[in-house]
Amino acid sequence: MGLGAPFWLAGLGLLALPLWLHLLKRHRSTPQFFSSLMFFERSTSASVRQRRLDYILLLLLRLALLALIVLAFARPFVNRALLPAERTGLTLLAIDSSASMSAQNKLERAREEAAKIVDSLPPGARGRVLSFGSTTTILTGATDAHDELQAAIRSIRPTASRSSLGGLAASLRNLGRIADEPVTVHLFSDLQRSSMPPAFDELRLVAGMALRVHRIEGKEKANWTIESVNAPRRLLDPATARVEAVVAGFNTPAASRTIVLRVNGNQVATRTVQVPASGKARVTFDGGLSVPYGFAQCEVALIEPDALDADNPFHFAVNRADPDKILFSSGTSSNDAYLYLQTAIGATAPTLFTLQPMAAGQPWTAAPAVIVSDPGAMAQAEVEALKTYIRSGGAALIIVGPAMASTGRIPGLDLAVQGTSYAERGSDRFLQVSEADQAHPVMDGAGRWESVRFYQVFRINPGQAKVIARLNDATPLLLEAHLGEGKALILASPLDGRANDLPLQPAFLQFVEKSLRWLSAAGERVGLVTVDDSYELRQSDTAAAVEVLNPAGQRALTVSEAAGAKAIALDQKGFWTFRRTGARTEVLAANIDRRESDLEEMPAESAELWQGDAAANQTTGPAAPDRAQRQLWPWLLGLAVAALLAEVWVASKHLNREQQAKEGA
Amino acid sequence: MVQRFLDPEILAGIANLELTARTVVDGFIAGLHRSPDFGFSQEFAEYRQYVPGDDLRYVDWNVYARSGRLYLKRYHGETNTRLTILLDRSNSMGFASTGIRKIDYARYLAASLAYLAHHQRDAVGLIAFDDHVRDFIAPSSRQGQWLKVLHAIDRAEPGNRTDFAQPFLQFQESLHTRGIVLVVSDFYADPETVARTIAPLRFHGNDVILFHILDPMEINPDLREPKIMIDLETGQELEVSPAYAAGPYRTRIDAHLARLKQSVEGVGLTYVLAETNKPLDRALREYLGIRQGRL
Repeated sequence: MGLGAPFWLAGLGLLALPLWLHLLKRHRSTPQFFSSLMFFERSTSASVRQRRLDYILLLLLRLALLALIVLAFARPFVNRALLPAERTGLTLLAIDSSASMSAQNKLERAREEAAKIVDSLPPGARGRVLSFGSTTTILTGATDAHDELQAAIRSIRPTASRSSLGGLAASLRNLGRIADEPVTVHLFSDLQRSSMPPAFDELRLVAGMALRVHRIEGKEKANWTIESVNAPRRLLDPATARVEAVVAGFNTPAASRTIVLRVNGNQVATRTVQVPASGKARVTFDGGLSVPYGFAQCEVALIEPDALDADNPFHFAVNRADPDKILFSSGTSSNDAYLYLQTAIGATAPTLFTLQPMAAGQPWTAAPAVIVSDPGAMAQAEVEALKTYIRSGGAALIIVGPAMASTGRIPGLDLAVQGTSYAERGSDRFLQVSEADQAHPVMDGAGRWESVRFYQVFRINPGQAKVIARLNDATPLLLEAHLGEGKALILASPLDGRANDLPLQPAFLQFVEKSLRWLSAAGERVGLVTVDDSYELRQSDTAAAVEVLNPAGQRALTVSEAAGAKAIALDQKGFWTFRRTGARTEVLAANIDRRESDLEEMPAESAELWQGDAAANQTTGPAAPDRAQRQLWPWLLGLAVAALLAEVWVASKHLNREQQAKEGA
Repeated sequence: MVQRFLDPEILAGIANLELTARTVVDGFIAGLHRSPDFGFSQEFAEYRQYVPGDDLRYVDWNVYARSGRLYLKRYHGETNTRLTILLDRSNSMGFASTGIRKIDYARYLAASLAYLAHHQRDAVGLIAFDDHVRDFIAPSSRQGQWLKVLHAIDRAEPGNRTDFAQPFLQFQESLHTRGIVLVVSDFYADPETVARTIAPLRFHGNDVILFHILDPMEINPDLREPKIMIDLETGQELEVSPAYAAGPYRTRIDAHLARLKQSVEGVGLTYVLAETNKPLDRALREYLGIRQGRL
């Protein structure tokens, strides 16, 4: 018997507290003089004696409660002899299911070896099965049902994940901390060098945990892969499209590789490239990319088989579309803003957008983004239409002007226009941008805003909106606001050629292009992701449901998840389809992490060091091989709870008696 | 010291009572006191026709000279009775649940009654006792007697336990002359014993009035929680619960009061219960009222 944390016994000093309280309580019962006791009887003292008994009982219960809690914190234990089955402790079987294990029957061999380990366990010995890639999946609880362990091993299938030995070690440490017996970990993996964490210390296990590494080696190590693809995410002109790919070799000799380009499963081009030994080569597919309108599922793939075929294709999605039609709405008769914006949009290459004046009765929902220039006092129906448009995922660039300032509010958004800041044009008094969020996509690289002069700016109370740029008098110039699933950009100075000289400055072209890209999400979508990346589905809880189809064409989310999930982990390679409201569809291509392509194994010394380190941990573990500690703190805490309940009951009885006595008096 | 006992508020009450008593007739008070001596009065009362045997000294010769008839001139006789106050100064009289102890209340009462008697030119005496006679001032109407009595009252502090038998045997011998005897005590004794001990005074022709001084806490104990009670006289300790104090104790003290009243009135004594939370003049008024009722 012993104590795990004997310093907690110092807490027994707390026992003085109830003793002191009870002595104080008893001291309070001072006697009272009375003229004569000839009408009192000795039997009347019963209640007082009972109360004193209660005091003693209460005192004992309180002392017991404190003592039990303190003893529980001291973590007492008793040593006991282990049963034969218990002497083996808990056996953890960790099987690597990453993409690299799918080649050369590695996973099958790992499962076979794990099954042999289970067969060798003595009856009654407990085991647990884990599979790991970038994350660790616990397939069974700690059980002595060996059939269950075998079934779990058989259920493991190869995944497209990359393996992470650091993540596995972290999971093992957590399991080791909650285990109250020696743990032996059997690790079945190809032990890629690329799976190792940056620091060897991250592989450290906890005390009492031993590691047995079962290296699943592959005969072939030479592996080629398409490391990356550079292709237009959005295709406006198929004839001029160009696809570039980088072929990388790992442990490979110099060789010629054949690479094909496929579009929606059809091979459209073939290239042959000479790849140097363990080097890289670039492949270019010129001559256009003939794809239909909408998203096309494309891939660049190596033809020849190698050590890992799973990484030979590289998927990417291309969206062929016409330039986005940006609707323009203005409440003034001036045509300046439209001309400035149209000129700026036309100057961008390639032409991703076209600006179109909004016709009467035209629905907002038809456009990926709208520009609202000083609409003035909008009718309530129009304001509601704008709000609905933004809330349902639309985007708007709102340019504040005098007509809007007179209404005091920005339509569709709960932002107040508090007044106007003027600077005299005749002198040098003008306002300039003094503070800008350079990390914002709209301001990214916009270093020339400092030269823009502002003579009239409308003061907007930002409220919940984010200020992207401020002038030197601290007036917000550019703001970002969100409403529902949509967003808006607010420019606090009109584009009329008088309030500022922004349209005449080079920064204007960048501002218009970047703003429209950001608003229409043309440059925001992730085109290339790797397996196990997380993809954000929605920004607010009130957003509409998103239907997600996995590469196999199956729904990846339940109905409730589709309505409420904020993000989804892309756990398969291939093309993921996201369908949102308004017939908006997006296709993402998920590829195997290219670190899996390097089949170079962990040095044998590192593996031995890891095992040796774990063995040292086991010798310093809390239990001898034939003895085990039985922790007593759960029992003590249980007794403490019982003492607490008894104390509450006795104290309640005592209070009731006192209450009755007072009512009787 | 005199001022202490002659509290203006109490004096106001007593003055009213005196006025009431004097308007009723001094002779009524004399009759109340049943003075055995025919008074040498100064105040004319009435004429009465002479009958043979009357003392010729009281014939009004002026009337006879004017009318030729014999009339006797009668006067209000004044009391020359003796008032003896027996003041219990035992330890139990030191109890107080409010601001005033029972002994203080008893002393105020004794002083007030002595003052009342002194104004009626009665002889006033005092006996302070516990288990023995501790102070004795024989009744007298001499100059300075009033102050002697007041001093003796002032000296009466709780000192010992009560024992009616021993002191009453002593002062029965000094109470041969008829008068009024006031016994001021809390009477923590068996009612029959009290009646049996004090009754001989009545047999000697005294009017005996028992003022039973009790603290309201003794009649209606207000215990909020169980307490350890200590007897002021014996030092005995008992643990008492609020439930007992509110129930059985009340029953027993009420029975004791009823038995005491019945016992003492059964032997011709007058019983007055005086609670220390009630005005002092109320006891005096009751005293005079009781005397009036005896007419």
